[in-house]
Amino acid sequence: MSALLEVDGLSVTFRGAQIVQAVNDVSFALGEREILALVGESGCGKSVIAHAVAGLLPPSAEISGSIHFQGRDLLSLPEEEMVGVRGDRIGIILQNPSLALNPLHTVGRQVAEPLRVHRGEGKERALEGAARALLRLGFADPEGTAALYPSMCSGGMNQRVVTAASTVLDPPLLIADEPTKGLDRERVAEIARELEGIAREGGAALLLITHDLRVARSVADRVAVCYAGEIVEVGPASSVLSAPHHPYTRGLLGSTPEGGFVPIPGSSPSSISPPHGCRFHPRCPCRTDRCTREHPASVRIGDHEVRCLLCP
Amino acid sequence: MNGPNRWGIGLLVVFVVLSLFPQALAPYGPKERSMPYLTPSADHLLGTDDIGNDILTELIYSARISLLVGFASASIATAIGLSIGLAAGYCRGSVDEVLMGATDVVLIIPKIPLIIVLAAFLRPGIGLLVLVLGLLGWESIARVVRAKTLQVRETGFVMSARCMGFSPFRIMGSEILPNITHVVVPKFMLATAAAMISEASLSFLGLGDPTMKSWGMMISFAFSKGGFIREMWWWYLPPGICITLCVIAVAAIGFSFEVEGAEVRIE
Amino acid sequence: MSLKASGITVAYCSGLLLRHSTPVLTGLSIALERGATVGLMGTSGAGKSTLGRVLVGLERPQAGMVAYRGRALTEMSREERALFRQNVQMMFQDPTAALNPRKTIERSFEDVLRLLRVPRARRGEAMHDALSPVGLDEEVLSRLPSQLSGGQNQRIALARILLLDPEFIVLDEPTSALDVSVQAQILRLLKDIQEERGPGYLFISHDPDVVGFMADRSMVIQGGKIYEKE
Repeated sequence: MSALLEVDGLSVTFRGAQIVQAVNDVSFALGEREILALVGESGCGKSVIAHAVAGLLPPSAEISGSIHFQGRDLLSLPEEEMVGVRGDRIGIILQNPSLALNPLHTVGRQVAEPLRVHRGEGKERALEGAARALLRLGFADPEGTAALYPSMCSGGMNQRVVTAASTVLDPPLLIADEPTKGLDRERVAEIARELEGIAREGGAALLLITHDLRVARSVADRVAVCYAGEIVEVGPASSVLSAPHHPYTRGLLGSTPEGGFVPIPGSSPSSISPPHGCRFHPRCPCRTDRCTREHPASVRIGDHEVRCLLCP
Repeated sequence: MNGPNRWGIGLLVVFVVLSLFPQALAPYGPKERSMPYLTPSADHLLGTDDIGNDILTELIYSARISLLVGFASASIATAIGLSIGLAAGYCRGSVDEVLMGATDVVLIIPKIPLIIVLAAFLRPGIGLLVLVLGLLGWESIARVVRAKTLQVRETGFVMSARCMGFSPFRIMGSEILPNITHVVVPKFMLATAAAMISEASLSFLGLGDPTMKSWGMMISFAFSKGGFIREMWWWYLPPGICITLCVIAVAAIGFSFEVEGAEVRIE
Repeated sequence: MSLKASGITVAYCSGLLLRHSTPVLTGLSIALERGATVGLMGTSGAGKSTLGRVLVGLERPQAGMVAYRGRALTEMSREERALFRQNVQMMFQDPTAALNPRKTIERSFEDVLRLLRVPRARRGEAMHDALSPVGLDEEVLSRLPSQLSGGQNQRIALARILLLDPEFIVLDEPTSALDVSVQAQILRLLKDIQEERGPGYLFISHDPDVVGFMADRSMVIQGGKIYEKE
């Protein structure tokens, strides 16, 4: 079975005042109904990867490689066709949901919009579909909620409204970019559960971008760890997050509260001039001389793929 | 730099050069006279006025007065507005109430009628003009500065400075001021533009300084010495055009500072 | 040698003639000792930051008093006040606003050194001495805060505070805006500094794991009142 989403050799460079290499040779696959968490810290490029898949990068971005979705290379699609794919086949849930909602339209109308635009449904039928989507997201009175305006709803409600709008067409692929950023503990757990529920129920695959390892652990089937624009380790969530191979993943887990707040020395490299050889070597406790010169390729170890010269 | 800024600066530079080096650029000296009321010709590109002065020469020499009044009164207004705005925004409380009350009072005073009244009692002159325009033009600057100061005051580094015991003057001048210049500069430019127009209007009304001819004075003389009646457009149009161009240049520079680009950063 | 707040009441006044007041904190008391960390928790908006600011003298309470070395803030002489200002500092949550964005790091340090009347000749050395405990290189001196990461900016903010060698530091969510590994760095750093130089911390955070790691004892603000956490 070929994967639903296959990213192969994706590289993204931004040419502005300086040349920023945001993503370098990223490859991963996402199967149907699978939940893949793309984890990493600020500036690692995980959000750029998500935007690349969704086709939302600015025109100034130089993209190379391929992104195969349901057999088609999204990078080769003109924008008119991409518009048809987005929303219908790829549902996107971004940070800060309140900004995604139009304050002048009712919630119901906005959730119904994808049905009208992509499926050509009439107003009444679309609103029915919207009510069903809202019910699915836990709104006890979908018709009542549909009549409200975003300003009348709390932040949490608006988040669920945006998720409803993104999932109303039951897209086979969902992309969620840091849906839990800036929220407190309970809300994070709640949203994570909600997303998982929605994905499983709708039979969708979920590409979840997050910096929160707890969310990845509780929700994801597989985890890909991002560092300095590369994927350094990818594998099943349970084993990547408990017995990782890559020194960065180990360091990351060690610096969590559960790991004892053990810091990784140094700071993340600049995307303008990343280190030679292995990008993690300046901060790696296991580095050898070879690591300063050679850039590691991704090798397979068990069911992980790891970018490290010291493996196996 | 985007479009308006480049043109604005270019145009302003032209006028500044004219005001700094009139001797080099004007075809005649300021006191040289020929036949009066001459129409434009090769010798006198813009003709001559009622006493035979070359109009083009007058135009070039007037640049400095118009620009001087504009920038000088804007400087006074900005200096006052900055001080009051910073003090009101930083100290808050009763200091703020008093200063904002004063601002409201000044807001109500009409500038041009006041100058007309003062001119009846005092000898009209450039100093008076600059002073009055400056003393009455600061209130919108003060408001903007106060608003920004209130905002910047709550940032970590300002609170840190207060924590460390820096003096209020030091904080206002060294921490807050550099972070509000991006709102002050456009207000300064717009104040300059407004002052130039006010000066032109007042000069036209005959309240300008007769010894220091500005563009507004030129139009005033054109009017009173029969230029309009004789339809000598080469006398009254050029100064008007110069005022307009100069004000547009200054305002364009001011507006371009106000445009802050929102950057979308994807991590 | 302690920093104590007692009976603190803070209310926000609004409306005509400021007659309408909404109480935020009512009658709180808290005490800090050198060398120890008190954790302060509570939901957002509970008033944790407000209490922090009152302790540092940045906000005046409607009732109650803050006492440093046994002297109430409002009764201090100029010299006592200066001593208080030097010894009680605060660190903030947002790394992008922790330093003046228009000043290079060097200038930001110089301002403090000038305040401390460190002679010009000794300033370079002082800056180097300030940067090494926080694990930063001298090359950051010529940069602007916008050119550095959140973690680096927080470390510089801390280094600046340490120039004053304060006895007490109120830390208002210092790591909430930072990545996981950077948070670990800063927390370890804070602990090391406490061991070496002995300042007392008030560590404000909404994250129970972080507070558990840093604090010797914890307080919670709820409904405007403060309780000791078991």
